Amino acid sequence: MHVDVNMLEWARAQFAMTALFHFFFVPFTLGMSFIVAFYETIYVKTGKKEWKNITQFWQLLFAINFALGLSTGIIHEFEFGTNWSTYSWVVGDLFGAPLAIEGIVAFFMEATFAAISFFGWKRVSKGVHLASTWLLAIGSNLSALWILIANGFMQHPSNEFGNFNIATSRLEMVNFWKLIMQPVSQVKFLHVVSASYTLASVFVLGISAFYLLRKKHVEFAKKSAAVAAAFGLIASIFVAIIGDDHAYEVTNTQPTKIAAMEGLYIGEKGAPIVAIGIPKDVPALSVNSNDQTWAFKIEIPHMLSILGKHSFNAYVPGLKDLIQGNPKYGIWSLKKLAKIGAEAKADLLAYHAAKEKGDIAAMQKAKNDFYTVVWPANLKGKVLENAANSKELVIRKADLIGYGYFKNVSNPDLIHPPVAPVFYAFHIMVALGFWFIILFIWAWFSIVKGAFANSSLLQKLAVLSVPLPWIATSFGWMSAEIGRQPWTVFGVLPTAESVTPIALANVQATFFLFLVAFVILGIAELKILFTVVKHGPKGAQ
Amino acid sequence: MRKLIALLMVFFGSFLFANEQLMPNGINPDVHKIDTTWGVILFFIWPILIIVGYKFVEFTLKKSGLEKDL
Repeated sequence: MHVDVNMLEWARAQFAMTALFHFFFVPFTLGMSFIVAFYETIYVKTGKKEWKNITQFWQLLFAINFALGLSTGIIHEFEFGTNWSTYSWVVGDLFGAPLAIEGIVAFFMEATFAAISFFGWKRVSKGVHLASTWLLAIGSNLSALWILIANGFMQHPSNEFGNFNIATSRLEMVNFWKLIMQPVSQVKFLHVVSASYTLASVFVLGISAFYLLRKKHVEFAKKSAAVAAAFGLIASIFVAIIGDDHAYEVTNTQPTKIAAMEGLYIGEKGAPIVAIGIPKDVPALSVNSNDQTWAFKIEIPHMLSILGKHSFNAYVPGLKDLIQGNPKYGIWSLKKLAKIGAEAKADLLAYHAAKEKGDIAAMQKAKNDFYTVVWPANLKGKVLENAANSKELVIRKADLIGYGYFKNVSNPDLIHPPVAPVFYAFHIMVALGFWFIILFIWAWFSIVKGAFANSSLLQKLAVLSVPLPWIATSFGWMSAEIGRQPWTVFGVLPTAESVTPIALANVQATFFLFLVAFVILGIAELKILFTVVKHGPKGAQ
Repeated sequence: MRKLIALLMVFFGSFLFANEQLMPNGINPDVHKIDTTWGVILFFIWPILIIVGYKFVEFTLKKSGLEKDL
């Protein structure tokens, strides 16, 4: 398939734009849904009208955001068909199942209970309303779960749950349970939802601080802030804890991503983390020392091995090792992987050519070669049509078919993501994460001591912090998605092979169409949010 | 208690003796193998996080004196 490089970049840009715009709303929805449920629970338990007012005000802000998040998500789903149809066709069995469940279960659950929660205050009993608000929150978060299971598959596909079928040329599901319960997806889910709770808590704390600075709605603001500070403190600390496990999963399942995140070109035992640095753009094969790839850096020795491998002196492969290979640790060169991948690709073509001719023997020969085990050494040469049936981990030629598409192994830097954007995105996200912990510890103690209403410095910092979690979550998403490049499905399907071969003008036209729509929607959303915040809690009545 | 000590020894032992042999593509085989038990445990951390979050909210409101009728 010939793909216009410009077309590929435009399709990527359009998807990135939609994802980033959609992701402005998603974490807010995930977090606010539970904060609103907390407020309403307190209202039902105490029976006090002031808690009902607090619930309704924050629910109004949540509802405005909820509608836009929903509509931008639908655009996303369409793009899989319009711009990424090859991807959808090849891996639709595995990727489509969680998306479909999200649509059928979580989406309908959200839609049903959103209606009762937003519009049913005077129509249903207190108990039914409270249950609806909780079920809306649970439904929203379950939506995220299914999306992240689909995304987890893209980050860490495994032949334990997906098998490449030579007859259909598609990756097909062989174990649904392993697909949904793989730790990569579950860790990702916990990291995303806890980051979302932090984001919503910073928002509520910041808006409450804004009212306190203006000496408006003081009792409302103090109570709202107390809930946000408590939930935010738990959530922000949890983000760091589960972030550690996330880093462990990434280090061990996506070696090129972690090497790019940390600018590690030459693998080492007891690898350090670069806490602060300015990476240089250098071809990996020209690097002879990790020091030559930085304009400036401050390192923490052994920290990457400890966090990424849970071992003080463990070896972490660098980008150069992943291109040249490192026999000492069992890593093959890119050339070898590409050669085996090309053989699998040739087998696939030979199988279908033989099928057209009705040559059964040739079909069987191609099929046997396609499913031949190439790793581990003790099983080498064995034919295994379904790797999920093997007790041991195996790699067959079929599992490396994606490498067969990297024709230009003389430009091996195409096999790993760009270092600078992934490094900066990841490190800014981490730095902001630590700031949120400090902010919530400070705010929580201040609230418990009854000093928050008089601490103008803390209030100002809380207001200034409101946009920061959006930057942190967007950068987190960027480090995950840019870090996965050049693959849509890591190690299996290259991005360049996933795109729809359509005319460039089509993608450019829809890109600008969506851009205009997003700008208008974004301005409308902000204007409505600012108006509601300016009017204060009474605006919710 | 013995089980706990054994678990802690395995955990801290892993800091000294990690499996260094990787797969041909640089992936760690121990982590690549899908551990659904760990996946299920991780999933159930989510409701625990929400419950702990809410209980801490109630504790904060009581301790700060902002809401005592909880």
